[in-house]
Amino acid sequence: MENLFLGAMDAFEPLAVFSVFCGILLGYVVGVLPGLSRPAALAIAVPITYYLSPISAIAFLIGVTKASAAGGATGAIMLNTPGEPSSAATCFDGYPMAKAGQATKALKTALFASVFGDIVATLVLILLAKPLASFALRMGPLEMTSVMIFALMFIAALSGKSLTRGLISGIFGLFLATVGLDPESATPRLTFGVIELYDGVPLVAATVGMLAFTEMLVQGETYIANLRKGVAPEMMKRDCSDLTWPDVRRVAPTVLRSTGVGIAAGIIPGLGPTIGAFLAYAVAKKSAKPGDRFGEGEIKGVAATEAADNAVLPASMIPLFAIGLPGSVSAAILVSAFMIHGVIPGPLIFEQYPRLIYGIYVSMIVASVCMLLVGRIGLHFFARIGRVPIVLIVPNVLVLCLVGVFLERHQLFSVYAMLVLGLLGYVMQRYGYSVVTFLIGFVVGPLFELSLRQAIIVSNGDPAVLVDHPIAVAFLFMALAAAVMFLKRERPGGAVEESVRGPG
Amino acid sequence: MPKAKPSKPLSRQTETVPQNSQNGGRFTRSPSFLPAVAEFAIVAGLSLVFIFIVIPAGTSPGGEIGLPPDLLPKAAAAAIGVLALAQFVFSCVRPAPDAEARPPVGHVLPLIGATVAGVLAVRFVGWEAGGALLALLALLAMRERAPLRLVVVPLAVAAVLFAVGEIGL
Repeated sequence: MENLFLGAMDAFEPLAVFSVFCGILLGYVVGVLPGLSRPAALAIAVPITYYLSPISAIAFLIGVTKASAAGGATGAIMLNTPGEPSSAATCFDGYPMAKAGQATKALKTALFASVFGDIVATLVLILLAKPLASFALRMGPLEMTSVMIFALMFIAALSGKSLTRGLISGIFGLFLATVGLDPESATPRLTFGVIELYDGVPLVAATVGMLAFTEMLVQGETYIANLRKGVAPEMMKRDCSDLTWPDVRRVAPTVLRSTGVGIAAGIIPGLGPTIGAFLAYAVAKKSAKPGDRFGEGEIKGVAATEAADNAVLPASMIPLFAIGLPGSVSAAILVSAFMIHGVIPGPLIFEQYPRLIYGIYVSMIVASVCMLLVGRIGLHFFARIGRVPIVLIVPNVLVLCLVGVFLERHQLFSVYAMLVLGLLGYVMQRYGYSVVTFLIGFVVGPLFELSLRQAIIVSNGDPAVLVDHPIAVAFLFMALAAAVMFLKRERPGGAVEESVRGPG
Repeated sequence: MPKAKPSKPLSRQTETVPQNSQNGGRFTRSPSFLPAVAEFAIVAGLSLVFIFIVIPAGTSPGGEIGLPPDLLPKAAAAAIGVLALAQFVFSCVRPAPDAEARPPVGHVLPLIGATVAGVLAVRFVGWEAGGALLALLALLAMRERAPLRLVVVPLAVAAVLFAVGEIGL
């Protein structure tokens, strides 16, 4: 109780509240702009937090993440251009609503559903994370290794078209994480005399390069291709419709159900907000009543996708806090922010930094309230931001990428690393290798290696000891079953549609 | 994210090739076979290069206590090689989903060139001028020709970078 009080005091410090507010503003802008995804924006935002206290830094990033999820709906509704991949499903009904002169109703529904999903998922996080962490503390290296293998298998299968390519990406991330000093002997490993690599490949350079820089290249490429084809974005006019109480009563069950779907998608590693939103839409459509017009401007469709989308992030922090495993790429980037501030996420975080954790919880609630206020006041203003041309976004974001990675270590080496990793990410993405899985492999790499080494030492390299570790066996079995299941479903039309996959 | 196109059935993806066999039979070859071979050759080849050249050259043998430092790097590289083989086998035994139509790589090369030039400019002439040059080159790479934008954006970038430097970040 004392820690909760102290954490709340930290979260209500003016700088922390201001950080949340700035994060929300930035997140909304990012969410509205079609060219910049949430993970890319988070990657760019991490360097901004170097000079903040841990609570202000995390609060700022949480603000960015939450608001970008909510802001993504604006472009989807007004321009049929989702600001985030996870808002793509909002286009199905949001844009037809706007065309039918109900843009304001759709925007308000998206905002209120987003805030509701977010707050409920945050409460679930607060209730579940600590008990799960207590359970995780009883897990040994064998169990941790098998949990990570299971999670990587899921993430690899759900982050791209091919399970094998996803696994190659994830293991390549693990491989790159081994660059630096060996954890046991402290001898240089794969550094080739480059002093800057003794601390490993810079984390921020990897995240910014693989996400933001790669995405700018893809956006630039698409823009030039569209320019050649003469494709012009369609504009949408505003209207004077409004959300009424009967509308609220009508969508309330859908919002509740979709929040549950979003929470489940957040807890299971690899699913992420895009799949969560599409699943919620599918569930809402399946439980449609006579008269519901899904796909033609149904308010329930907008509410379902947005509630689920925003419920994913807080829920994806449950495995992060409980076992140190990022459930999505946004959570993986938050890990890098934690580590920059000297905090290692995992079950021990509740023992070592209880005040910080409760501060983060309170900041998350503050962020939800800020999101509601900022979103409501700036409803039509944000709709206008979505019309900033991509040709202006790309050059500015490229410069931000360079500056951001430089600030991490004040070395141009980080900039070069970002450039190389960005180009690598572009090539990987072009040929169907998921950069999301790569990054998650890269982030969990050190923890995975530590657990694996401990497991090998504890077991003396004898796999028979697994008999005494049923949890480890269960997770390995589930990983194997998941691999078989995903491989069987990996056929045209059989797997989760590519359109529902995307960086989480 | 653009929706993936539904894949064509295998029968449409195959071409019949006459075979000079004794029974005069014919076999079919998927057009995706050659890309699959190329992908396997590159990924598995890189895996072997890492196992036999890069990792031994970049890691010390380690002490007598504990596990060797090259344990995980070699295991990871070997796993990538095995998975590349699996990917190749899967590509051969069943049709892969159609690759998403992407613009030609030539479209992105000017933007990459602009970024590399910008990074070099930052290295040699500093952040303000280098950043402004990067912004200008990126605008030009994206076919922007409006004089106002070509002037204002680089100037704004230079001003922001100057402010960042002055603040002392």
